[in-house]
Amino acid sequence: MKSIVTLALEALELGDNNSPEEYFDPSKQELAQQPHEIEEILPDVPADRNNDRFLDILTSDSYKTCVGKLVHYLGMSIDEITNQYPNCYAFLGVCMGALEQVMNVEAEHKQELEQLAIKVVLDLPEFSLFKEQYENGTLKLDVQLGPGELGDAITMDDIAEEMEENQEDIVDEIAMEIAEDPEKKLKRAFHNFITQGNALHKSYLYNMVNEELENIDETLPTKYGLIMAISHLMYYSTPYMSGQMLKGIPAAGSEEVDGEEIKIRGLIFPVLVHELVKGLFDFLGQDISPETHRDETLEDEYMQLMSGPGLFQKLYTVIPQNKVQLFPIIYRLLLQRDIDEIKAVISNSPEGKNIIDGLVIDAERMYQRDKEAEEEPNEYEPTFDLGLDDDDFNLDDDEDTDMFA
Amino acid sequence: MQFDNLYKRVINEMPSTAPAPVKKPGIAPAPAPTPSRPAKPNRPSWFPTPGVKPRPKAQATEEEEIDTTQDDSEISKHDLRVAHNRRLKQKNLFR
Repeated sequence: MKSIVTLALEALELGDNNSPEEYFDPSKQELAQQPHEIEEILPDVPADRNNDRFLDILTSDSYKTCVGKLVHYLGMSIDEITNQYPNCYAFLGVCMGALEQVMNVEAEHKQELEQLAIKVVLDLPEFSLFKEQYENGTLKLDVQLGPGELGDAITMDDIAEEMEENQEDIVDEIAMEIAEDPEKKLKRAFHNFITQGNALHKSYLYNMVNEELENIDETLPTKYGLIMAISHLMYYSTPYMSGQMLKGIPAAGSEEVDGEEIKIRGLIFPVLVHELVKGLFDFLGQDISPETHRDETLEDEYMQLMSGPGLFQKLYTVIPQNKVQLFPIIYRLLLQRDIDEIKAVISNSPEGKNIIDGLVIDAERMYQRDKEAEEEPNEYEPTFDLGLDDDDFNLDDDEDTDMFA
Repeated sequence: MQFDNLYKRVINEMPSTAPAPVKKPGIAPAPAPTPSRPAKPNRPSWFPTPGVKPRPKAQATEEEEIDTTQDDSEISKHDLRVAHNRRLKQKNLFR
């Protein structure tokens, strides 16, 4: 009989050149093998894959992408990397050294980099709708370089402690969960995976402004690449932690949504960009099953971070590229559909393609209606008839200019 | 006449005792704006419903009112699995 670790190695396709098992901690492998609620919204495994679960495909693909970035930014082959850095802790010296140097440079250019983070994100076509709302003042962004602020975060231990304090039985907790609409919970879980996956996807967005960054310090882009590649690897390579131990780890960034204001903090520029993307999508999904927000914990983020990039990639690739600017609307419309329809979209089946085509048309109409409403005369705005003729504003009128003579 | 010069003349030459400028006939007093309806909202229709603060990492608060009268027969495999997973995690299985 195969051990769970062996099963995990197979399921996650570890051990080949693209996914070394050295950097996927056994405790995280075990976590990735646990049943997860997100699976209810994921499609069947396609015929060309040998995995048992679609979630394994997402985790495996996300890990391979992560390792690929490490290879790229270290400029070494995977064999060279595993020889030189036999485990994740061997990267820490490189990462911390680069981080210290970057923070010293960034301290002199704080405001410039904060503005650049907003620009690089909102200039993306898929964020153009957010840009319109930011520029007209509807959406407010508080973006600052600085450590993450996770004061409001909770862990599994916090929930357990609260239950104990309130003398609640675990059975009551389960009963309440069951009473909630499971479809809503699933959609919220899906949204959390997409949000984290999207943010991880954009962690290397700084490459779009390399010229500006090199004007500040020509080594910044290279160091950013190293730091981000190693940081992402840590999601897989560090042992599972929970409770106060997890909460005690200094956060490199954070985002918090309050109505139409988003507070973003990031220790360094690419983290700020990452958190800004996360904040915008968290904003977008703030009304998705709000009743389930209360028991979302830091521990939940492990799987979102380890598998989210793969899920986001699946979703993003089904959006027609010439309609990507409508992505926020299409995405919100998708979340209003049934679970089976979301599954079809993720699997990119013919049915899924039809659904997306329909959503694109709906999104275009919705956007167009908003535009027309903006452009038509504002019937609510009061008009002021001062009884003036055009001549009253004629500056060439001698009588006017001589009025105070 | 240049506007600058006119401005300086007005400022320099108009003493506090200067007679009030004569209003041109035909200019009615400006009525106070009295909007009968609120200003048109500028939120796009795709924006999320306001007033719902997401708490993905937020502190747990007082219990929300949830209907627990659901029939046991509606308990799904998913619900049990989620609840089971949570219990496993609370036991710090992966530490």
